[in-house]
This record gives sequence, C-alpha cells and structure tokens, in this order.
Amino acid sequence: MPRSPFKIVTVAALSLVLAITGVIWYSHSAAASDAPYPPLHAHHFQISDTYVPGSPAIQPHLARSGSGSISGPAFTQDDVIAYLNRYGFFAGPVVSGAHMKILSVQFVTSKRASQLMNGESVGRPDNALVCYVKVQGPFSLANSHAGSFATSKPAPTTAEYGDAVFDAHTGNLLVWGVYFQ
Amino acid sequence: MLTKQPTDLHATGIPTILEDKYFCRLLVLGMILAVVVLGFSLDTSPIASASARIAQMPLTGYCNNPNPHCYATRDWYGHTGGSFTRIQPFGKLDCQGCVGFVDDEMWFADPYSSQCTSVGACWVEAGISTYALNNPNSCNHALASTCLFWADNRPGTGGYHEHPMFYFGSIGVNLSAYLVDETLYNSSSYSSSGSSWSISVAIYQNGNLIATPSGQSTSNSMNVDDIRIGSELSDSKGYADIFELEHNQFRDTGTGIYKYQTTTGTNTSTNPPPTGYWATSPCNCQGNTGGAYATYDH
Repeated sequence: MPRSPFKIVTVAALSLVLAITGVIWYSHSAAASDAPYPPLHAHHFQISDTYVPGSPAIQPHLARSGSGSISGPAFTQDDVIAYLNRYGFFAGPVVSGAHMKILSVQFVTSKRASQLMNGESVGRPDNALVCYVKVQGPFSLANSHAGSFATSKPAPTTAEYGDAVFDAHTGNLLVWGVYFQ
Repeated sequence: MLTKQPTDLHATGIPTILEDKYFCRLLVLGMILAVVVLGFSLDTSPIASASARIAQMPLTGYCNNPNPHCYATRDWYGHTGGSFTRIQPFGKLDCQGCVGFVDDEMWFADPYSSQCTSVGACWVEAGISTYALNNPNSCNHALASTCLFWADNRPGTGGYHEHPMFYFGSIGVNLSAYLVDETLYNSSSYSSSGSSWSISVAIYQNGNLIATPSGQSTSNSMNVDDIRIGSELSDSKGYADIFELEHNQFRDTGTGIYKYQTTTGTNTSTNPPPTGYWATSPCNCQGNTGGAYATYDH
C-alpha cells in the first residue's frame, strides 16, 4: 500500500477526532451517572416528616433537669420579647409611624397553639411544648409569599395582627402568620 | 465521453488512499460517530442548553406591577385533588441587599369558592426562596439564606401562615446539584374538596435523596380549582438564573392517578421581571412529560 503525506495527515486527524469523541462520550456518561434523574413520586408522605427542625431563632439557655431531659422551656418569655424587639416580626416591618405591640407570650402544647392559630398546623406532636406569641402591627407583607389570584378582592398589602410559634426546647421558629380579619 | 474512469481519479490528483475501501469506511464511520456524539452531548446537557437560552434572552427592566409582588406564572384551571412539579435549578436565586425575595414555587389554590373569595383566595404553596439578611424568618437566622418553605392562606379567620422546611445555603448559593420534587394533595381523598392538604417534598442532591421535609395544611376548606407554577419577586434587587418547573402533573379526582399536563395553561404573569417561558411545552402528544416552564430574573 502506498504511503503519502496526505494519508498520514488524514489518519492523524481521524485519530484525533476519535479521541475527542471518546472523551466527550466518557464525560457525558460520567455526568449522567453522577446525576441520574430520580423517579417521580418516589417519596410518600409521613406525618413524622412534618416535624422539621424549624429555623434557628431564640437561643436556649435554661439548664436541663438532672436526668438530662428537658421538661420545661429552655428560654423565657423575656427572651421572646427581646428577640422580637431586636429583629421585628416575620411578615415584614411595621408600617411607617406604627410600633409593634407584643400582645401575649405563652408556653403551651402544640395542640393548644394550633387552636390559637384557628387550626393551623404547628409541625409538632400534639403534646409537644411550644411557645406561642401574638403581636399587633400593622405589618407590611414584604416577606409573605402570598399569591395574587384574580378575584374581586385585591391582595392585601398589610396585616394588623400576627403570630408565631417557637419550639420551647430549641428556640427554633416553627411557623409564623398574619391575619386580615 | 464524460464518464470518469478509475484512471481519471489518478489523473485529477486525488490521493490514492481513497481507493482503499476499508480506510474510506473507517473515515466515514468516524465522522458520523463524531457528529452524532457531539450533537447529542450539546443538545442534552442541561447546562449547555441553559447557557444557550441565556444568550438569546433580552434583558428586562424592573417589575412595574403596582402590587409590590410580581410574578412569572402559569395556571391550569379545573378541579383536581393533587399536583406535582419538579423544580430543576440551573444556578442560583440571589437577592443581595433586598428587603423582599425571589422564589420559584407551586401553588394549589381555590380562588372561587365563597369562603375563599372573602379572603382573596385559599391556597397551599411550597417552593425555594431567598431570605434577606434582615429577615428574621430566614432559615439560617442572621444570615441571608436560600430556603425551602411551605405556606397556606385559609378561609375565615385562618389567615396566612408560613413554615420553614429546609436550608440550602447562603443567599446566592448554586443550586444546580439539586432537584426538588413537590407534591401537594388532598390528605384524605382524591377529591378536589377537603380541609386537610399534604405538602410532600423530596430533595435530591446529585441524584441522591437527601431530605423529605413535609407539611400539612389543616382547617383549610378548599375546592381546589387552580394549579399555579412559577416565580415570585418582591424586590427590585432580585436575580435568578434559569429554574425549570418540569413534569407538571395533576391528580385525577376519580382514580387518584397523576397525569401530565397537556396544555400550556394560562399566562398569569405580571410584567417582567421575573420572566417566564416554556422551554418545553406540554402537549397532547406522544412523549409528553408535562413540559418545562422556565423562569429567570436578570
């Protein structure tokens, strides 16, 4: 078989193309295996999955009992008041000229806190100890993820009252809300 | 005679290697292989696809909706007992210096029943959002963060409540490694009517299931008539890379089976930003997987 410079160059070019192709193929395969698409609906709801830790908020500091378990709250009502006075309420700032009033701070069961929120879930078992707080604004809704649905009633931009629930042991925020009526 | 004979090939200077039929076959095969693999790779890489889309997008101005919240959203109307979407991020949500937020999420709503119109609408929602530095609701307190949340707006004196679910990282963290599967549905039946609704979330990182935070909306009497997907913005400083809401499904009230959306729904967006478009449209056709609705805020 005769050999020419063109043939050598062509073979070299072809080898290069095949090598690049191989690298790309391998990279694509590796990426696919690193991030496979999981099946849809693979997870089934369990009520225990609703007991999420919540967001870190009030620092717990009260000592544990001798057994190491906590039966009472790990922070005080004054801690809650100090926290809200420092950071404000969760919905957003109070409207110009207004001042937030803290109407009540109560350590209650999760079930009772749900009742105080007119049936909103707390994300804790019924007998878990939590701290329920009620406040008055009015508050802007800058932090509210409220939808805007086409109805005859425009979406509110402020709310007069709000409330929140903290885990009584960790101090974490579990839920906050606002009321328009 | 115009027909070229083999000797003509030599005469025109074309190299003799082309006479080697095995070499020619190898050359053609290699070229076909290269073209196919290169094309496949570029077409199916999410990052490459997203980058290509970014290059084609016009820049937009700030939202001018009088309501301080703006939307890039699509709605499917009709009674249903559940909904599903998969949020696939191609980058980050960012809101440096914001008071408000930018998010991507799904709503499951009743805008029409009388007990709901009196409070605007009733709904359950869940999604990924930014939380500003000064927001005490941040899931990593005192740090600007990116978090998963769920919320509901209930009839009567129920009000609006919001629940933190999962901490992804600081604000602007790259979320490309994540997939977030959200299912919102009637907790007790296949019906569109009920008062207890499950929020079931599965979070995948690099394809591995890492968390299943969930929630339950209670004392929430709705007859669900609206599934909404998209992005919400409540600040002029928001930035969002492309996020796709994919595999959009509704739950059949008779069988309880989840079915893919087959239409592009109704555009309920405000003026951009955020911006939304169908990267892949749902269709009543073979191979339909509920489409991929993409949103961004640049």
